[in-house]
Amino acid sequence: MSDANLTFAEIRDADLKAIDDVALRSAAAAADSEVRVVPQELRTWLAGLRLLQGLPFEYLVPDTDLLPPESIRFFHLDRNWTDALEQGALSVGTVSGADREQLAAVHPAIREETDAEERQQRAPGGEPGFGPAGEVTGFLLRSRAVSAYPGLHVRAYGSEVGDEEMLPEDDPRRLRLLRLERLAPAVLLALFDGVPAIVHVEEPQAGLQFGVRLDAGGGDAESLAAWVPPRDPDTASDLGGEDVAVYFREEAPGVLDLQRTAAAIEERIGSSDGLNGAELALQMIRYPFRQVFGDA
Amino acid sequence: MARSRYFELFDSAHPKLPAGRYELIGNQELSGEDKVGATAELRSQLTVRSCRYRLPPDQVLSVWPAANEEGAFDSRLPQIVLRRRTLPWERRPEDPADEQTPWLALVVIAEGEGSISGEVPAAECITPGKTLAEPSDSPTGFYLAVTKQTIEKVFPTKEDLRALTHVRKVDLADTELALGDDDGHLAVVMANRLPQFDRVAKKPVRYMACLINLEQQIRLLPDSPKPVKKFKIAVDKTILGAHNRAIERIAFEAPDSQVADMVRLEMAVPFKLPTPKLDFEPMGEGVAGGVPKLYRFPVLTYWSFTCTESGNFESLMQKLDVGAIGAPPPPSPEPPTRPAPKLDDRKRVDLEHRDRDGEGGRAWFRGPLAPAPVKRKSGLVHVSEKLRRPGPEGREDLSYAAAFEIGRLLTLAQPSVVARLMRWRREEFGAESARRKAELAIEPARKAELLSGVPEPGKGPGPAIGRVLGAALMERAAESPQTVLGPTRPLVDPGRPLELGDRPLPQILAERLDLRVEEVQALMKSPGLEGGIQ
Repeated sequence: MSDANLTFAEIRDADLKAIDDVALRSAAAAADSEVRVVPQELRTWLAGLRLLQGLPFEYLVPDTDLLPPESIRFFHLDRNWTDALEQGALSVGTVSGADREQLAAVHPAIREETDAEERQQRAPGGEPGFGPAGEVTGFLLRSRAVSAYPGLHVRAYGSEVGDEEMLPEDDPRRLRLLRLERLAPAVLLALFDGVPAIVHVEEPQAGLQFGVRLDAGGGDAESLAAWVPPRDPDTASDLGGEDVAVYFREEAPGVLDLQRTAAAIEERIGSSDGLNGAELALQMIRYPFRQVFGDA
Repeated sequence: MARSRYFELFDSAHPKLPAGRYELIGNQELSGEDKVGATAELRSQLTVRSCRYRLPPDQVLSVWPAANEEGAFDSRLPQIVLRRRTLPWERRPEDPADEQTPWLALVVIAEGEGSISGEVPAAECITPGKTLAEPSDSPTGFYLAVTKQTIEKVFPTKEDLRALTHVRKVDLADTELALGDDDGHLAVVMANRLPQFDRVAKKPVRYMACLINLEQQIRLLPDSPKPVKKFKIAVDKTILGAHNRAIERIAFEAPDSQVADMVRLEMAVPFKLPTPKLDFEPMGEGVAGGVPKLYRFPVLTYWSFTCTESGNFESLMQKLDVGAIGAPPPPSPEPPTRPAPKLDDRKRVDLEHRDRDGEGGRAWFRGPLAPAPVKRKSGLVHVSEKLRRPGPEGREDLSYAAAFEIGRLLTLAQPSVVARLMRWRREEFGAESARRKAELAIEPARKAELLSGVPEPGKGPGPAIGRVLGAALMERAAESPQTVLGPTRPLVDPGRPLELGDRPLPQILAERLDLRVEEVQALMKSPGLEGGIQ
């Protein structure tokens, strides 16, 4: 033991130096106005819980009748419930009565910090929200559309906007998404920071797509037919009126007969010099469909 | 749409020279009298390169549906977007004068309708008997082997090719469309087939989209098939059978069983199709009878995807049952398999409940999702018992108690969070005591420097005000704990009186300590000891 050789004064000096270091560090920490009660990792965990992350599904939907297949259910988040969830998590760290006393003393600060942290969990466009979280709402969507169209776009607006509008992320009328996640292949959970007046759910946008409107062919359950709405070849605007039937190759399910289809489209839009690649593509462009939910 | 996005569509973009070998001949005609300075004729070889067997990966800007994606694709045409706008017209599929017909086609084949080869020498990538003139871009390649029946059914016609290929000019600022392309001009090749979900068997169908080279083989494409206005939803199994038979034929003719197995394995790649073994007539009689020939097309690139659903997004969304949480499910035509849950007016569910003693009963529960806004209350509890609430019908409402417990359990399930929580608790205490020591140890000058947070006259409190107040409080507490912290408990409590009975003390001690009485008496002569013991 080398310590045995130190004089008492030396030990005391070393001790004092260590104490000085602590003092300096705590002073530096105190000078930082961003000092928080709860460490970052814990804040992230608590805010995650508040946003129902990792919560078993039965707790969200205690009975399947509450979320039947092909349904959407809107809700308000019960903050007392999430506060209880958070307090359960905090109780893990308290062992003795003294711990509980201390926790009770700092609890208002913890709650405030977690409120602010909720908005940092999902920071779209690198613009986290500030201030305490207020009312949180959301929806659960259970539909084949969720599994068949991965990457749905969900946008919520605090005030009425046009069905065709798409406001940027930072528009004040647009509500921030706190969470958007698939809980199961066909179940989507969305949480909004506020109470929306309008919610848009839009088909995923993957560049420009081409296709038809496919439907059962005139009361015949065993076959399908397809249409395209005609467009003006010069302005690309919808001509309106009757859709143009799409032709298929006989005995080949799903295979288009492009020559016959092109002829049908030409006839409808009143052109006669043959439909080239660009003109046919224009007729077949499919824009992502947007479902609008109002009065949520 | 609010975000204005524009694009222009062009029928085609032709290169000045299609790919191939050229001879550049240069000569001068001099018109002067003496023809001074005449040069010899220049003959130079020139090769215009383009891909033929392989598409460089950087040429693919995007594909739709994405590789290995699953979903409902049944009303959209698969497509591939190529960076170089002239690519589909850089070769002439057959007639050198025919500028308009692209040499590329995107064919979509269902599982089992054709097969992709392994890597083979480039010359083997085309139907035996055909050769493609040099130069080739790659010594090896892949090919798509299909029967004539598959070609007839799913390949585009020669006329379709033109309609399926176009050039798109997009706004480079629109990241979603341009995807980082350099000039914003892209070539698009669409398929002619809508990938279908097996609506009869309700099974997903795996498809493969192959960008194939049609050079020298454009005559194989179907000729004016018959158009119909609708198609049967059943998946066509006939082409599938033909392809399997063709593979089996080759396997059957293989010199030994190992090679036969290899053929089955190779040909089924990458679909991993279990090819049934078929019976064939022995060699000699009717060898070629009924066995389809396989045609090969060089594949520049391919990817697969699975059509797992039917129904388009629009109809699915419009048929949704919309409501607030707790709304009753829409009436179902089938008889219910179990009784509907009982809900109260606050949409709490009546659930079976077993308490800690194992006694069964029923209780109310609602998750965090409420049909109407709930006023937030403050307060902190340390045990879930305190969150049990009385509910209607004399039963408890366990919603918040359950929330507390699941929060506790979820946290306990994360060792790192538990460790962090404990450390946090310890540090709070540790930091507090270190600070106290520091306050006592540091010199007055340093103290003044550290306490810069003390408000100066006319200015607000500095950033360290909280700490300063804490330190001041601590100091007072150390000086007079009685006033600041309240009365303290004495360090030692008086013990209860000893019951010695009538016997003298030295005797008891001697017995208990196993000593002689004289020794004890001698020891007890030390001043004050006896009194201390008594």
